[in-house]
Amino acid sequence: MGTFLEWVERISALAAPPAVGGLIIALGLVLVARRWPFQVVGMAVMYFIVGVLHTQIIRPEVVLVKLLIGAVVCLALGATGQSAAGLATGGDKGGGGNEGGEGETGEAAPPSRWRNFLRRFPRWSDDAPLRALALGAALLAAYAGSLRFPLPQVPPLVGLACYLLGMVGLFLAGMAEEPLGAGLGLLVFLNGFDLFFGALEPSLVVAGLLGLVQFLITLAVAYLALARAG
Amino acid sequence: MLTLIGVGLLLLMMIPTYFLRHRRGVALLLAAAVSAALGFGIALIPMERTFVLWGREFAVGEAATVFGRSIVLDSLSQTALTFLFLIGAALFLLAWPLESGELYAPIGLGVLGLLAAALIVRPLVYAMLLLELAVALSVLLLRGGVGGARYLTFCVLALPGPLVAHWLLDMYALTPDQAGLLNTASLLIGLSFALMLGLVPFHPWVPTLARRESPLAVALIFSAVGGTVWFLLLDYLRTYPWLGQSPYWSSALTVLGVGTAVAGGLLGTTRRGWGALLGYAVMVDTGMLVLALGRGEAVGLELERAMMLTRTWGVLTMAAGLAAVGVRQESAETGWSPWGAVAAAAGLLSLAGFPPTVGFVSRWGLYRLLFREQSLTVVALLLASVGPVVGLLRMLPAALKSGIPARRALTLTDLWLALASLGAVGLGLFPQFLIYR
Repeated sequence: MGTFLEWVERISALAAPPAVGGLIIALGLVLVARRWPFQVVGMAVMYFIVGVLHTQIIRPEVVLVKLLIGAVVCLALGATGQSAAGLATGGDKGGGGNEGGEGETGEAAPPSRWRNFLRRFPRWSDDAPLRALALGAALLAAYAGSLRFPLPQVPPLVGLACYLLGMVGLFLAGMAEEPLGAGLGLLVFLNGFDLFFGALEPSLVVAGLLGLVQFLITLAVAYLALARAG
Repeated sequence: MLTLIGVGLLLLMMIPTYFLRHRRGVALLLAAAVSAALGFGIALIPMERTFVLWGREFAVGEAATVFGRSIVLDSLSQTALTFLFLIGAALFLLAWPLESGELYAPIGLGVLGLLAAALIVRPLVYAMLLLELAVALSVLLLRGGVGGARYLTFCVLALPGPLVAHWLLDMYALTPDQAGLLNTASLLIGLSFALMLGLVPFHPWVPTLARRESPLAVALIFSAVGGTVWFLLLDYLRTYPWLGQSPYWSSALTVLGVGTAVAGGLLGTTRRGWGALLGYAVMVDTGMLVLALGRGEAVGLELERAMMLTRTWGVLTMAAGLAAVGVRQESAETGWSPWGAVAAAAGLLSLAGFPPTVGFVSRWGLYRLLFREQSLTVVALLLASVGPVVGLLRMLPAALKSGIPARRALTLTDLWLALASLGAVGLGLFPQFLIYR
């Protein structure tokens, strides 16, 4: 345990600017990609970076607990995403989907080598440009907000990270069509708030209750997503 | 101390009721008995009475400390807890014949326990965190979908406001010359409660939730969770009296209250289903409650409590009626459940404040309070109240066309529904049994 805490403290010294850069990439992955594996990876990276930023304002032991909560939340989200996708695929099987790219006659032209190469990469959804635009708007609003209304009690870069998480969380929750998307947005938003409020109220009970709120929200969202998919 | 034991008991009872979930009736009756016993216990046992536990003497109303936080039972929280536990008991009894979900008893008990803890813990910052836990847990009672996600979203977005406001007020205590801190805190607290109460423009979750989810789960959210939010708001106003003394307070609440009531009334005239009608009627009632709160004086606050009681009766009666209709449709019986239809209509008329239902009694008090100074507001409120009634009249022909049910013996469900409907009218004729004591 001692080694881990020393390691966390060492990372904390390097944290600020690279962490905010990493956070932007992670949030971009959660907001722009609509496939659950990418979103869960984005959430895991986000929880890790928020943990690293937390080390600048609260005790490393508490950060460790927050990282554990993040790990449990990401595992639950991953399991939910996989189950919901499985249920949705099961439902589509009888629906006469046309996923193979075949024409109505069933005779398909053999795919070219170039197409085969492209197919190895994940396809972006149709609304990816709109989501990228939303990410840009969130970044801009967060940057302007952190300059115009700097958050008290936190270093400027942590304040920027709080704004980023809050804005992207709001966009995610607002643009979501599915409970899982809304839940991701709420969790991102709550992480931003947790990062800020940890500096204002370093009480262990508050940290514990906020962690419990995140855990129950994950449970509720998982239930809603599976009930909807089933 | 008794309240702490009560909260612990409710949370502990989640375990046996979970294991009894396949025997739904037993689990629900057990939950109803515990909830009713706690409700009557807190209402009737004198706070100064002492008892001995683990060799130590405690007073019933004595403050306790858990993890360094105070647990307090004063007159407001005593009323709120009685209200909460009795609602819980009524909902568990109604759920016995009307709710098919196996987890209604354990999750309902958990929600009640967390709400009760939110009502007695100090400082209020912990109350908000416990309230969020209750909200997240109550989502597990829903069928899954957009309504639950919206409800969760609006309530979670409401969390940061009171928590940051708490810190701002601590700062204000240190630097009383910075009046801006108070204004920001007022704004944050007001915004959070507007989100949780579903005031315009944060109302979309209210009709969506009511339209798509199980009626008794919605009733738990509108009456128990919603009632706790109201009591916490009253607690905030008592703890921070400067909130209500702001020059903008009364006018802001008038605008929000009239806006919410009128929006609910207008939308209530549409035909979007019985569930949505419940949501719109609740919006109208919420608008009225906000207006009563805006009066700020003692009469306004008394009226507020009366309206919360009458609103709860209306919500429970209508939800029970809708649940009975749902049960009948699930069992593929033709025609409406007659008593279900009566209960749904009686509950809706009570929520709309239609005479001689119990909802009218408190509305009449509000109209009289407002009429001298704000006669136009009263006219707008009366018109808003008509909206859900118009919606009811538009929905009834379609319901009646679904066929006349075959004659059959009166069941226990019919008895519950008849009692709730008769209560909605009877308490309107003799309101002294419920309010104005």
